Amino acid sequence: MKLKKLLKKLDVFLHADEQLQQDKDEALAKVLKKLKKKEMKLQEAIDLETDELERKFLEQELKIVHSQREKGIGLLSEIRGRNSEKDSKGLVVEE
Amino acid sequence: MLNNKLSRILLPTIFIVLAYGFWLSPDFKQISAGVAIFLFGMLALEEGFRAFTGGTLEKILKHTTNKLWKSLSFGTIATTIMQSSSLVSVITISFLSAGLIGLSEGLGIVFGANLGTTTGAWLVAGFGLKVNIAAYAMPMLVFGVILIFQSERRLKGIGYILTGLGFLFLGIHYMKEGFEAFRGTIQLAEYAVGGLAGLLLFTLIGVAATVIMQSSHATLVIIITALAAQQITYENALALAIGANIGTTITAILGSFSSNERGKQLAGGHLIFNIVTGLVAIIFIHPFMAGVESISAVVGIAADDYTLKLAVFHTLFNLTGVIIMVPLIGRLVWLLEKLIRVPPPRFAVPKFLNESALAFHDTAIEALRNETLRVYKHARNIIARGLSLSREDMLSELPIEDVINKNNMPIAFDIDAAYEKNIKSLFGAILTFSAKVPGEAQASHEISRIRNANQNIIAALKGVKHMQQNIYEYIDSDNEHIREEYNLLRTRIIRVMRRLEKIRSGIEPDVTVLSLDALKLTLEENATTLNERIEDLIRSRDITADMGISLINDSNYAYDVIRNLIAVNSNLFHAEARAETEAEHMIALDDHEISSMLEEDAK
Repeated sequence: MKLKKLLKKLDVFLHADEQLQQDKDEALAKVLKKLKKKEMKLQEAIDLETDELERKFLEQELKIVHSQREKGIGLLSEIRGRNSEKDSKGLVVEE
Repeated sequence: MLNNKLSRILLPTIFIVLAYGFWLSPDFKQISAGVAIFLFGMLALEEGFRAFTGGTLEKILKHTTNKLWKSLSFGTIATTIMQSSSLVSVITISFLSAGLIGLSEGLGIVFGANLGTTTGAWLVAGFGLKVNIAAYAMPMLVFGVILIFQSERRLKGIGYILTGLGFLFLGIHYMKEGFEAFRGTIQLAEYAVGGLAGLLLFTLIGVAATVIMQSSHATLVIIITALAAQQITYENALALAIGANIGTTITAILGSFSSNERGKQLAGGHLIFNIVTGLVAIIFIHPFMAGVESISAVVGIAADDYTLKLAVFHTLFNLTGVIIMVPLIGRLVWLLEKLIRVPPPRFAVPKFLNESALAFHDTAIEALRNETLRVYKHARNIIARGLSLSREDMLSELPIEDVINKNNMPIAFDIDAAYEKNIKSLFGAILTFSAKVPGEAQASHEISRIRNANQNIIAALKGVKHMQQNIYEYIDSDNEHIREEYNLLRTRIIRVMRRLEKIRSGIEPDVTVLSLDALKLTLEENATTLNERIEDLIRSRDITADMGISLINDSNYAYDVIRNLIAVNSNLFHAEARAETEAEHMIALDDHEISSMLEEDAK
């Protein structure tokens, strides 16, 4: 088990470019998670808001966050699609 | 200047003395070659560690220097690993100059580095002399050089570290061999001087040797190897070690020549620490020696093992220095700030941009970002005054309506003069500095964003300058319609400024770059409704055609100001991890996407 872990670490070390791609993937996923949280918070705030103008503003912000999430999900699936294409061509060797 | 003159005299003198020495004695040649190989090893080691500084260094430093004990430990551990207190001092100066850490944290690191340097004596005395380290050096050099030829940066870094260690070991081996062979021809120990005179003389020799080699570590290795070969007496070796400790500050002082006042203060602190420690060691040399004897007896060091005893002494007096100086760190900061003052400038001078900040990718970017933030803060003041507002009111918690009512009279303010005084010189310095940033950082998104942020600031100021004349004229106009419209323009800028401050200060959720998209949408929406309203006002003759033209122009300028202010912040905001910032920029909506959303809303 330890050897397997060690080999994996060495593999990561020797394939810095792939690591970079993975970092990008992880960062996107992290930001998307934050956006989802923000979306939920905004929804809660909208439900509680009594002022019409303020609610409209919050709704607009929610719409933006929604569009950002859609865009982010699109980008993430594009990156993941590209990676799996590479895998199937045998460019990336994984256990 | 002084440095140049010194090296012009010193360098030929050293060359002549060395050449004469080589001609006189082949053993001396071997020792000198050992020192040269050792120093070359240190250079390679430094180069190796530099490969690992990009990206993570800033993060590590931020987390490991927020408390005094942490900066002390950071200094000790970093120096133990890198085996070079000079490198740690120079890194600290560059971080301090770039504004990444404060003076007291910097002093903590330097104190810790002094303690860390003592591990070198232990390694050489305990391991280097007892084992045939040249045998380890050879494979290290072979593997190291192979790795240096690899294109991967980290592998190259490891290559340099291995090669560096290999050369360090080889250097120690040559010095050891040289001193042992020397013993057959000359007995340097015959020149030993006892008593106080000897103590002072050998301290001075230690200082001079370290100043020449710019490495206390190298001096210490020579002392230990010479002591092992009985070429110097134990007492004189102690004095040399004290001298080496004082002499090492020269590297920090030379490094601070190219840095700002903060860097100079740190170098001053380093000097004071090492002189105080040295003086304490000289004055209390006998109690220290007695202390060494008792510690050695406790840990089982043989009575005649003078090299290990020297290591004990070196650790003991540096530890004493730390114990004496740490409680005085606050006073030391006060004294240094008093002695090395930051002069009040006529024109704004860069606070963070200096040569030492250029040493690393992270410090260069951080210095540029911090300097740009300064420009932004100056620009914020100019914008407030240009809109006839007080800056405090603009960014206060007061309702915007109250701020507008309170600031309802035009304020005479020369934007050009303020730009000349507070912005132009900094902007120029930022451009010059960004052109000097090391190669790989040049290509990064970060640097182009920082450059863009600066251009956005200038564009925002231009917009305010264009608006200023009409703001003078209309904010106290008798025509309430035009007055209200101009106050509305001011209101919008205040609202955006406040929102940007909120996002920047972290009160908002932590997707800072993405939070700006809502502002962009509001901006576009307002621009559409404003144009419709101006047309109505002209049609109903509430304002004259001249007023209408001014208002149309100024609403466009206000649009530009807001757009540029949002852009400044979008370019300067960054998440903790670089990859996350990039991800946020990838997700942020572009103009086209914002327009599509507006069109959808209109339907």
